[in-house]
Amino acid sequence: MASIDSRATEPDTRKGHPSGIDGNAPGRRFEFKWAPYLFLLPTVGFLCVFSILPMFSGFWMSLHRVDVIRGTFNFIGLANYTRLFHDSQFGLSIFNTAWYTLTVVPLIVVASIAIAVCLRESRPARLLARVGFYIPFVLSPVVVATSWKWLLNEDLGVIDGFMKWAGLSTIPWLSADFPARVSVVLASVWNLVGFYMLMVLAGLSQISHDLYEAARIEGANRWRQFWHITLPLLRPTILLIVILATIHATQAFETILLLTDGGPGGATRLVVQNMYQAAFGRLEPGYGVAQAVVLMPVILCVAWLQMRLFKEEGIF
Amino acid sequence: MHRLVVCVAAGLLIAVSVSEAKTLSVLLLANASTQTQIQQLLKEYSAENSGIDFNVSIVPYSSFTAKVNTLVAGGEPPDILEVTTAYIQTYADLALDLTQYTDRSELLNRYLPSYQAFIKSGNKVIGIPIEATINGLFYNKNLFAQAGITVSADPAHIWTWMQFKETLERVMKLRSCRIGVAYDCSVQRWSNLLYQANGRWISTDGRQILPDRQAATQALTFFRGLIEAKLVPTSSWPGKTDGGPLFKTGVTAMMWAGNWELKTLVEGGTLFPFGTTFFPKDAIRAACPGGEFVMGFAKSQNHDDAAKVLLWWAKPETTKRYLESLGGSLLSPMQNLPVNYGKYTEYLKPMLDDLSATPDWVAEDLARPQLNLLQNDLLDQLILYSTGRAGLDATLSRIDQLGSQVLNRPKQ
Repeated sequence: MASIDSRATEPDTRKGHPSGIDGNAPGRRFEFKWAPYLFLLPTVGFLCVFSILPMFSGFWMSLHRVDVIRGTFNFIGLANYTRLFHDSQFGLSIFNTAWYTLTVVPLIVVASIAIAVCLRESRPARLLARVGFYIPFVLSPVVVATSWKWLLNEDLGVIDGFMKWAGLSTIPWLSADFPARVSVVLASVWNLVGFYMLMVLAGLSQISHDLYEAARIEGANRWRQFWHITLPLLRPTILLIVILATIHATQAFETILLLTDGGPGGATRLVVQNMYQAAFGRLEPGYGVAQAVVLMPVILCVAWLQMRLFKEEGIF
Repeated sequence: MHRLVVCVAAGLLIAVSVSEAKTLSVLLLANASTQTQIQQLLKEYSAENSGIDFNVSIVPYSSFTAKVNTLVAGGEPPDILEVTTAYIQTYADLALDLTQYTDRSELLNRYLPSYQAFIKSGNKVIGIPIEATINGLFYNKNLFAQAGITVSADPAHIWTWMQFKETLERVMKLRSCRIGVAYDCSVQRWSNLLYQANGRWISTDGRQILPDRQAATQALTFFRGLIEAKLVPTSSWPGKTDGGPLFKTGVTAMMWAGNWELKTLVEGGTLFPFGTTFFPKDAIRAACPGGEFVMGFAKSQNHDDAAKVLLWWAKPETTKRYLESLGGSLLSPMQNLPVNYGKYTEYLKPMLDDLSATPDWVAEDLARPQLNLLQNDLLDQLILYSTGRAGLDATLSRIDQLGSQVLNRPKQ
């Protein structure tokens, strides 16, 4: 028994420190366990090569005037950053990105919940409708943009054609600032809502029917059931949707590029397209990267908020 | 023993020939109407020149610069690159100089003056024009007949800008006509007006943008007038709907586009007869030339073999064979090359006339790489002005500002 106790009090180098180094054991030989580090190496290596190194080299590039074609770098200090703060196009693209994100994300959340709740039961017609809502998500951005471009065409489009037939005045969907912004949001929501609807359906399947049964017995109508059972229990799913949709919105590029090309006059040009245009259109990669560097604190704040919300919800 | 010697010799010969075989990397623009014919031509070259093979990659226009710049920055430029007028001068410094392999003036003189401007860079010749395009004007014959308007076939009686506008207004009065002129939303298409007003984008010394303010003002205000009079539909400008589909509906009087639209219109068929006519004129007659080129890079792995391929393509018989394999819808960039344009002959006549009436400096102006860098920004400004969201002075001063950022960019 005594021998067991003495073993229990003996310092264990395998447990004392995650690295396997027990610094509290004077005179003991340092034992370094390589295995955990070796297991981590591929991931850390990938992260370094594809995320951390590009981040630092991007920042370094933003301090230079880069000639991509001749491969020359000319140090210009913070000139790209000072130029950024005088660039009205960059300011407009920030505004557009904020507007786009703040409209697309709530619309996606509301629409995906509404559709999922309506199509909750597994009847054949509803299953078919689910497929119908999901199809736009698997379409290529070219198809999505081209379809919407023709639907919204002012001269020959179906929507304006219907409005003319109904005696209403037509809307310049793609050629005036506000309608173009609305069009881009509509096309994006239509494109993405099917994916998020599936997530809500998965969330709904986790809610026990007993809760609804009990609520019905207590006299709760469908609205109260939704408000007091469905919505609270969907909170983790909704949170996940908000985060994923925000990421989607800040990365939006192809559909908008093909639908409006950032037009008219830059009214729908988001930051990603602005960066792309600076780097590949005007061949100023340093200036393009400077925009990304300025945006980094904003993205970090969103990431921090995301971590906090996840923690509060106990998701991790 | 004798057999053994023969076998060893044959083996060595095969090994030597295999080691000498070269594969040239070729980067082509995704273009359904030309990419097959170009690959066919390269196969012919391989058949004629044993030991030369081609590894062809096709890139969409939208990712073209990203792809080429990545290859160039990585030190692995393609041996042969297909490139448009907008980009050829961008790569001039790195281009393979064909004067190292042939006589400069003899090579240049094979081509129309407009196309010489695109391939010259200092004393270098940096590419071979393989096909020419030209901006042009299409009209719906039914609508014009209903409006009682005859279109002149004589270049001596072409419309002035005002006559062009009045003609459109007359056709637009028809109930069956819903769109005046489908006008592609691009800087190049708008530039026809600037050149017709005898203006240019960049001064000859390369230091100033829109040096002739009067010409620029005329072109800007005339175009805004077309939009305000609803002769150019907002779905085109600024809606960016291509002219082709709008024109094909049969309710559009005219289309301001280019000869590349002919293939779709003629082979795809239209429900109405259509024709082409001369561009209207202001101070001068002008139309934007364009086209595609093949070029090499001085530091590519097989640049000597690439030069041989390019010079083979520069032979009149190769260019003619290539153009005729396309069915004749694209024009020859070569001087005095009798190409059979087949069913496109009648449609191309006014466009060829516009091309011959266009001064050489138009191509020089269009070929400037700075103009290409400014494309998107200039288009934004043209849209803001033409749709009435910016005034003339504000537009010109913003263009000045954008121009100075690029024109005064220090050379590294």
